[in-house]
Amino acid sequence: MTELLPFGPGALAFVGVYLLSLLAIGYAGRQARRDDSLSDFYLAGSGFGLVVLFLTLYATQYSGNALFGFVGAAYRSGFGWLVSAHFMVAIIVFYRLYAAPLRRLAATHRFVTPADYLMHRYGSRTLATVASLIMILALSNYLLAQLMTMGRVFEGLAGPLTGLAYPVGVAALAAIMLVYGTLGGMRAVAWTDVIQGSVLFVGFIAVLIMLTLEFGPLSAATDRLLDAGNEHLIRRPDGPSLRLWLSYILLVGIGGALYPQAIQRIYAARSARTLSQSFALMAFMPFVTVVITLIAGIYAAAYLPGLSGPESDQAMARLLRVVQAGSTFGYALVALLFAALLAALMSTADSAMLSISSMVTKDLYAENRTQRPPERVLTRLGKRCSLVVIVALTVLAIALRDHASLVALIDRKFDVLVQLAPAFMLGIHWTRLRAGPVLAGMVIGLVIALALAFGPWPFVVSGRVAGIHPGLIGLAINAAVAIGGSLLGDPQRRLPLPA
Amino acid sequence: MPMNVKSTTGRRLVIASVYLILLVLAIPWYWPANDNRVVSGVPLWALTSLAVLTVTAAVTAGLCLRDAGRDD
Repeated sequence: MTELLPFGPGALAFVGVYLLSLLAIGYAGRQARRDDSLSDFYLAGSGFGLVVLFLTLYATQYSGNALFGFVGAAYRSGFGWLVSAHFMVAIIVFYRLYAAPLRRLAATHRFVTPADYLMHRYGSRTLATVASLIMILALSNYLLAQLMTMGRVFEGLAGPLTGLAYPVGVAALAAIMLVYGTLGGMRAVAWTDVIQGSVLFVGFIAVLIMLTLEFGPLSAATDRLLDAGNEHLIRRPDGPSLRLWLSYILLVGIGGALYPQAIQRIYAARSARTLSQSFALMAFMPFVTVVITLIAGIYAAAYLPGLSGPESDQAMARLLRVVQAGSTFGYALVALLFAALLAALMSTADSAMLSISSMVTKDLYAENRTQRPPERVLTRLGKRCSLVVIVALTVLAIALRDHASLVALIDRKFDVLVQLAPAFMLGIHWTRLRAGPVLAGMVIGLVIALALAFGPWPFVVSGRVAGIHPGLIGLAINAAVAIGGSLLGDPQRRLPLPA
Repeated sequence: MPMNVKSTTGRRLVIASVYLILLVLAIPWYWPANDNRVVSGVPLWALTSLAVLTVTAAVTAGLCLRDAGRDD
């Protein structure tokens, strides 16, 4: 291990204790289970209070991409990456559109997966299954990005000494996550999120302190960028980049509010009051997270120039190596931050893993069988599903090692997820929205988004059309089909809204 | 149309309009393209955008807390 990470015994012991504590919490979560039902395993029974709910939302929403991908993006785009703070606040704005009535319905009808709501609202198994497939596709992409980041954390810290760091980082952390996630389900994941969220919060503050101590004030970094002729990292974004801002704010704002694992946390809130209070706190978290990653990216661009492509996603890890070598205090801070990085990665990845497993087990398997298997059998099947998903994505993450930028992976996930917006955000308020048009809009929107993103179109530059993400173009057509189709249908066929 | 439905719709329109204005102000399209002015290491356009973001977060938190006061 010491060959992979430039840490001494003390720091390794600290990280080791942290990782072991996750396994212990997984075991405690298993001991605290009330029964072997899907609801207990995937939603933790009676629901979370404010502290646990807020920290599990925070730890889940702010992923390893937030620390590594965002620092890399700020390294490449400079202050133009301030858009990341805007889209993280936008997520909370869009949550508010539908979360409270959805939680009330979930409490009444004991929903477990996001598709349970769709089945209840529209009464269409086809729509619920297609939506589940879309969510599984998007989450698999997300989980893959987390696993790749795990590898890059190790790779960045180990430097050019070994090629083993990346695959070992991916496999070791995936294994730990799999053990505690399958032992204690959502209860273990949320409890580990409390630790991970706390460590993450302290870690972000530590980043700010250590950068200032090591490199001096931010103004010195900005001056250095200007002196080196990097005005493009300081000036306001140009016209096409401003369109990209608008696109990012809408795409990530809508898509981020539709994460299946976040919807399941909405279900798992103890009360609507707890949920609203958690969102109120979450509205301010970008200031102590993504704004700090933006500053870190600026420091990296100023003091560690020359990184390009996927290599720039290692900007944060390179910064850590510099700080670590600077002083004993810097060394201690890096050990703390390393734990925070692992926390960010694992807290997001474990939630995605659990969410995928719940949707495969319940929506794709159990609900499509003529005779529903017992809950105990389904819960066991869900755990096996987690194993298969993690092994498959770990192999893929190692195979794709140098092939995709983290931000590019994030973009595709949201292009897919936003196609669910009419079904959830509009459907919960508008009685006339009907299953057929919603399903047609969802499929058409998805096909358009993916065709634009991956097709050989001359007008698609860097995966976007005139700076607009394909997912938003697909969503516009999706919403037009859903609304238009519903309006053209029988006006008497209104479905009851949530009570 | 009942009065409470009208007032709910009106309130939603006001909130949507406020968010639309904040979105327009958050994106720094109105700032000079070649402006290099920096305050404490942060470009002036970015400080302005951050100020709008702070207002957006405060408005959102306020609405969430209002929801919390009415729920359950």
